[in-house]
Amino acid sequence: MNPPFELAIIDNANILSIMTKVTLGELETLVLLAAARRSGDAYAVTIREEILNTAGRDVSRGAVYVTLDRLAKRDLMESWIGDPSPQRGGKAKRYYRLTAAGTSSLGTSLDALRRMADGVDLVQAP
Amino acid sequence: MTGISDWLLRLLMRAVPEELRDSVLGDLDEEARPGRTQFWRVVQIGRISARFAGARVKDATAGRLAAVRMTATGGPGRDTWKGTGGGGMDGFARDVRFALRTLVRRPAFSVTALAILTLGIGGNVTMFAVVEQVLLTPLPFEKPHELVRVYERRTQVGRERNVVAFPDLADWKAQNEVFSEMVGWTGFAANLTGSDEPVRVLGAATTWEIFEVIGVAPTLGRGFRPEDDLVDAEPVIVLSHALWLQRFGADPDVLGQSVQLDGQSRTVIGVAASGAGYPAYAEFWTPLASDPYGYSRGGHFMNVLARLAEGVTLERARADMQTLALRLEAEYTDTNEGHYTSVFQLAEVEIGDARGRLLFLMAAVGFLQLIVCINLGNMQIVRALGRRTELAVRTAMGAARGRLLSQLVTESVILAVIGGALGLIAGLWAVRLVDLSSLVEVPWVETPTLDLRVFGFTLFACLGTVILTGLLPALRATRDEPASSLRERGGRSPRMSLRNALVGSEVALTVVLLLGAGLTVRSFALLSAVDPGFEAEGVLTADLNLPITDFPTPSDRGRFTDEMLTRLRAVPGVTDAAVTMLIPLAGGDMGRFFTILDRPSPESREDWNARLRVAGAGYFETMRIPIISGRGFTPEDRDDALPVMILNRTMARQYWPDGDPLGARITTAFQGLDTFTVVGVAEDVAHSALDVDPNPEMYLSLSQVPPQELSLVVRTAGNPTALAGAVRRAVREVDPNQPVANMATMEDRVRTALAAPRNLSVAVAVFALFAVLLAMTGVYGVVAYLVRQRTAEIGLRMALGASGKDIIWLVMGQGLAPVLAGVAAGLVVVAMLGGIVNTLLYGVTFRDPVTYAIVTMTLLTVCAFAVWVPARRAVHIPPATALAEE
Repeated sequence: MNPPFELAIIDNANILSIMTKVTLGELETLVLLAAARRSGDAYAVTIREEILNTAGRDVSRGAVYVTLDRLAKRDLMESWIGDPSPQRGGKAKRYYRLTAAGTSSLGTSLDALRRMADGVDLVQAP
Repeated sequence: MTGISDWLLRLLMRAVPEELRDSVLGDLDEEARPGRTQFWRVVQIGRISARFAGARVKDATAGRLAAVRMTATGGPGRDTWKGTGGGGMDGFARDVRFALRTLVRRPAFSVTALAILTLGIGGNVTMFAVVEQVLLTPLPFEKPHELVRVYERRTQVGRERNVVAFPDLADWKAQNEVFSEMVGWTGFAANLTGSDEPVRVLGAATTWEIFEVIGVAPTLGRGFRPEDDLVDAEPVIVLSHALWLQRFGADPDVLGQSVQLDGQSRTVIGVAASGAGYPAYAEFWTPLASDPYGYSRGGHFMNVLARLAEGVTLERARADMQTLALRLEAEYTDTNEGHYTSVFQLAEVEIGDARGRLLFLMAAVGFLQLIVCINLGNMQIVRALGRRTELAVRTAMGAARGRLLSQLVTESVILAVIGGALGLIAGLWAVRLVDLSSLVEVPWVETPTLDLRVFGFTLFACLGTVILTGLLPALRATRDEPASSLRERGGRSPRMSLRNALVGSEVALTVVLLLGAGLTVRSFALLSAVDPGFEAEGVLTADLNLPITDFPTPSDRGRFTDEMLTRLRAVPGVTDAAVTMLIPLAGGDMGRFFTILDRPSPESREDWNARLRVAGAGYFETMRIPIISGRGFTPEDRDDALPVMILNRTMARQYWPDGDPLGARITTAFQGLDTFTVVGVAEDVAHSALDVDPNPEMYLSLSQVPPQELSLVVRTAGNPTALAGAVRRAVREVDPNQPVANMATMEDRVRTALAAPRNLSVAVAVFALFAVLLAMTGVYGVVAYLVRQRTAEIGLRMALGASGKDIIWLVMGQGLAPVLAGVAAGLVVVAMLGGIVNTLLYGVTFRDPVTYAIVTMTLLTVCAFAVWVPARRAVHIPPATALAEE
C-alpha cells in the first residue's frame, strides 16, 4: 500500500534550493495533494472527486485539466496512458503522479503554510 | 448521434492539447449517467476548451502589451488604421482582432445582431433537421426508392387509392411484367392472451412475401415461406421488435414458443428487425393462409406493396398495370367494371400531407432568415455611414479598397460564425421541443438529430448571411469618392435609396409571412368551428375485439355486449353507453354497394355505393347525434326482429331528393342479411376528418349484425377520463380475457384531428410575429436615421414657420413610402404565387380578401407607429439646437 503522503522523503537541504524557483498556486497545491492521496489511481476524474470530497471544493473540469497540463509542463507531474475500458467508450485514462520536483515543491509550499499558520488564532470572535 | 457528433466534439476540442483529447472524452464517458445527455457533453467540452484557450491567452499576454495599450486608448493599431498592410493570414488575423474589438466596443449593436441571427439560423436549423429527417432520410428498407404501393383506382367515384380484391391481386402477381415482387396484406386487431394481462394488438395478415419485398429479414428466426401461406399450414406468427421487447422481454428463446392470438395457438418463427417493419403499425404478422379461389372479386380488402423490377420506371409500371387492369375489366365485366390501378412511390404514400406542411414551414423560416439578413444589412449600413468619415480618411491616407472591404466583411463573417454557432446550439435545443408527431404522422421518423447535413446547411445559411449582410453594405460603403464623403455633412444621403429598397423588401417579405400566418390561422379557426355532428364533451371511447374462437356465434357476441353495457350503465356518473363499429375520427372505413327495392338499377353500380356503419341501441343518444326523422336504434332491433337501417342526412338527400326514405327497403349483403328497412335519418357526422364533406352513410343495427371488432362509447356528466377504471372493470367482470384498448375521450380525438393544422398555424404565426417585430425595428431605424440626418433642415423649416403637424406629415410621408411599396409588392406576390398553399387551407383560399385587409391594416398600423415615434421627436427639437447642427 502506498502511504497517503509521500512527504517523508523531503529533507531540509532541498527546500531552499527549490523555494527560489517554484511557487505553487492554491489550485496547483490542491491538485498535487489530491494526486498524492489517490496515488496509483490519480486521473482527472478521481483528482476532481478527491478535491470535492476532502477539501469540499467544487473545481471545474476545465480547471483541473488545465492545471494538470501546466504542472506536467513544469515537470512537477508526469503522466502516462492506462488501458482503455469499454465503460469509457474505449478511451484510455491519463494517469498522473508527482515527480520528485513536484513532491519537493509541494512540501515546500505546505511547510511555508504551516510555518505561517503557526501561532495564528483562527477562532472567530462570536 | 454517433460518429458525426464525435467529430463535432473533436472540432470543439481544438483548444485542448492533442495528447489530452482522448482521455478527456473518456473521462466524460465515464462520468456520463442518466440525465447527462449528449448536450451535457457538448457543454462540458466547450467549458474545458474555453479554459485551455483562456490559459493560453493568459500565457501569451506578456508579449502583447502593445496590443492592450492600443485597445485602452481606443484607437486601432496604426497598420490596421491605414489598412495598407499586406493580405494573407497575417492580415486576416489582424482583421479578426480589429473586428472583434469593434464588435465588443458596440455591445448594443453586437448583442442585437447576434440575437436576431441566432433566432433566424436557429429556426432554420430546427426546421431543416425536421425536413431532413422526414423528407430526405430514406425509408428503412432495402432500396426504398424501388418500393411502390399499388391500388385500385375507381374513376367514377373519384377514389384514387382503393383496396384490392384478392383474386385481382393474384392476377396482378401472375401477369405483371414490371414488378420483381408483390405482396398483399390486410390489417386486423387481435387479442393476445396467455401468461400476461390480455392485450389487443394490431397486425397484418399477409401473403408470404412481405419480408422479401421490403428486403429486411427478421433479426431473429425467419420470415414466411410459401408453405406457411397455405390454408392447412401450421399457424405461425412473426412478432414486431417492439412487441417482442414489451411482451416477451426480448427473450431470444421466444422462437418456437406458442402464443395465443384470438384464442388460436401460433408458433413464433421470427422477430422483425427493429424499426423496419411494414406496415409500420403492425405489432405482428401472420400468413393470410389463403385459398386464392375462396375470395370473390367483389371483396376488396387487400393492401398491396410491390418492388419495381430492375430498370422499370414508375411511368412504365403505371402504364403496364393499366393495360393489365383493362384486360381484367374485359374478362370480369360483372365485378371489375371501372376498376383500374394506380401506382405511387411508397415514400409519397407514407409521408403524404406532411410534405406540403413541412415545405411551407421551411419556406416560412427561410423568409424569416431573409428578413433577419436585411435587418442586419440595414444595421451594418447605418454603422458604415457612421464610419464614413473614418473610412474616407483612411482611403485618403492610401488604404487599398480591398483591405477596407475585407475588414468590413470580416465583421460580418465573425457575426455570422458566432450567430451560426449559437443558432446551431439553439436549434439543437429546439429540435427536442418539436413534437414531430403533431406535425407529421410519418412512421419510422425519430427525433431529428444534428448530423453532417444539418451542419452543412448551417454553414450554408451563415455564408448566405455574410453575403447578404456584409458584402453588399461594405461594397457600398467603400465605393464613395473620399472627397465627396468628407465634404458631405448632413443633407440627403446617397444611400437612402438602398436603405429604402431594403426596408421595402423587408416589409414585402413580412407581408408574405403574415399572410401565410393569417391564412393558416383563419383556416384553423374555420376548421375548429366545424360542427362534427356529435357532442364530443363527456364521452369516453375504447376499442374491443371479440374473436370468433371465444365468441363463435353472433348471439355470443350480443350477449357479451349486452351484459357489458348493463354493467357500464350502472356505474355512477354514466348517463349513456353504447357500442358501435367505427368511432368517428378514429380512422377506418367501409364501403358497400346497395340497391333500392322498387327502383330501377343505376346505370353504373358505382353510383350506388355508401359507407357502412354498424351501431347499437342508444348510440345516437350517447353521441348526441340528432335524429332528423324516424327513430334511432332501440334494444328491440334484435336478430329476430325486422332488419332495420338508418341513413345519414347526405344519403337521404342524395337518393330521396324530394321524398321520404322512411319505409324504403335497401339491399346490401352483410353478415347473412341482405334487405333492410329504413326506420330513421340521422344528422351527418364528420367521420374521416373534419375538412371532408360527408359521404352517404347507412347504419345497421349492431344487435342484428354483431361484428368482431367494436368500440365502446360512454357518456358522463363529469370528467370522462375518471371513468377509465370503471370501464376496464366492467369489461373484465364479463370476460377476464377481454383487453380494452385505445381508451380516449372523444374530445381528444377531435383535438388530434385538429393537431396538424393547429401546430402549423401556431408555428407560422410565431414566425410572422418575429417578422413584424423585425420589420418594425427596420422601419424605425431608417426613419430615425433620416430624422437625425435632416435635423438641421427640419429646424430651418420650423424656424421659417412650418407647424409641427407639417413636419410630422413630411417625415411620415417619406418613412411610409417604402412601407407602402413593400406592402403592395407582398400582396401582389402572394396573390400571384399563393396557389401552392391552397392544399393546406380549409374554408379560405389564398386570395381571401378579409385576411389581406387585416394583414395590410395590421402592418400599416405597426409601421406607422414605428415612423411616428422618430417623426414626433423631430418636432420637439428646439429650432436653435437643430440649426446649430449645421
